Amino acid sequence: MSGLGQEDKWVGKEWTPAERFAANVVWFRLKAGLTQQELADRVGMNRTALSALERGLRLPRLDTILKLVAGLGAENCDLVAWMWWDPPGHESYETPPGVADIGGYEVWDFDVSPRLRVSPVGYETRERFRDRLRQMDEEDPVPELLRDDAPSAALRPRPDAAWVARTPQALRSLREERGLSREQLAERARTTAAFIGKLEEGEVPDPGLQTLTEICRALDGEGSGLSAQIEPVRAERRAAVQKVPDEPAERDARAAEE
Amino acid sequence: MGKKKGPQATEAGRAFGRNLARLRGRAGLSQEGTADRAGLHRTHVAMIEAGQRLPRLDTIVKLGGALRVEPCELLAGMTWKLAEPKEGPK
Repeated sequence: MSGLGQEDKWVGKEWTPAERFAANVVWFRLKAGLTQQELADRVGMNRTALSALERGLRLPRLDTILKLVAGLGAENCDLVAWMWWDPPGHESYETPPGVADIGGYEVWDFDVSPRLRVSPVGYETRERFRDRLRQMDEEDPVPELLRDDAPSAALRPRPDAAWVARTPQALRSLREERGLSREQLAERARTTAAFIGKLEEGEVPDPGLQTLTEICRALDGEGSGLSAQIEPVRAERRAAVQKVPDEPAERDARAAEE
Repeated sequence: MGKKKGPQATEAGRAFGRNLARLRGRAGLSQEGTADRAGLHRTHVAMIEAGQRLPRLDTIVKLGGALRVEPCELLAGMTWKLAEPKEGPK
C-alpha cells in the first residue's frame, strides 16, 4: 500500500485536464464546506454549469478559473495543479480558440494530446474522498468520474469510418469551390496549412468537431457538403452531453454582476 | 453569440498577457517559438499576450509547459473580486 492509494482504480484512470480540474474544484469545495449550489451562487454561476464543470465535461476559461479560486478561497495554484505539458519535438496542433466560446465554457469535444500529462494523485485515497462526498448529502453526491463504474476509456465514440472517409473530399471540394489555397484557408481558420493538408489527405483519424466547424465557417460553408458532415455529429454529441447548462441564465447572472 | 466580457475578465486577460510576456522573455523565446513549443498557433499566442483573448485551461497548461514553468506561474498576481450575494435565498 504505497502512498496515495496506488492500488486504487481511480489512480489507474486516464484523466483529461478537464477532469483533473474538476477534481481540484470538488476537493477545495468540500474543504470549504460548500455545496454546489452555494459555490455557484458565490461565483455567479449556474449550478448546472458548475455541475458539468465538476464532472469534467467542460474546460474552464481563465475568468472562470479565477472566479472559482475566489469563491473557494483557494490559491490560483490550487486549481491548476497536477497538469503539465511536454513541449513537442514536432508539429502539433490545438483547436483554434473562439468556437462555441460562450460564458467561459466550451463543450469538451476535441482530442487530448498525449503531451498533456495529468496526475491522478495529489489528494487522499478515493475511499476517503468519497466518504467526504457522501457526508455532503448532495443531490449529486459522487461525481461521475469517481464512481466505481466510471468509464476508463474515451467518453465519446470514435466517428464511423464512412464519415471519416467523406470528410477530406467534402473539405477539399469546398475549399476549391471557394478558390482558396491551403495557406489562405489556414490563415482564416487560425490553423496551419500542414494541418489542412493532413485533413484533406485523410490522415486525421478523428478530426475535432470544433476544428472542422471553424474551418467550415472560414469557408463560409453553410449548406455545403462539409457542413452536412458536421451537423449530424454535432447534434449527436450535444445530445450525449445530457445536461447542457442553462447558458442564458448564466449570462443574465453575469450581466447582473457587471 | 455572446462573447461579452466584463471589465474584470478584460483586466484578467491583460494581466495574463503581461505574465506571459515576462516569462517568455525570461525563457528567451519568441512568440513563434513559444507557440511551437505549446502546440498553439502563433496568432493565438500573440492575441493572448496582447490580452485580447482569455486562454482556456488547456492553453494555460500548454503555455506553462512551453515556458518550463508551473502553469499557475502564469496566473501570478491575479485575483477576482466576486460580486456581493444577491437578495434572498435561492
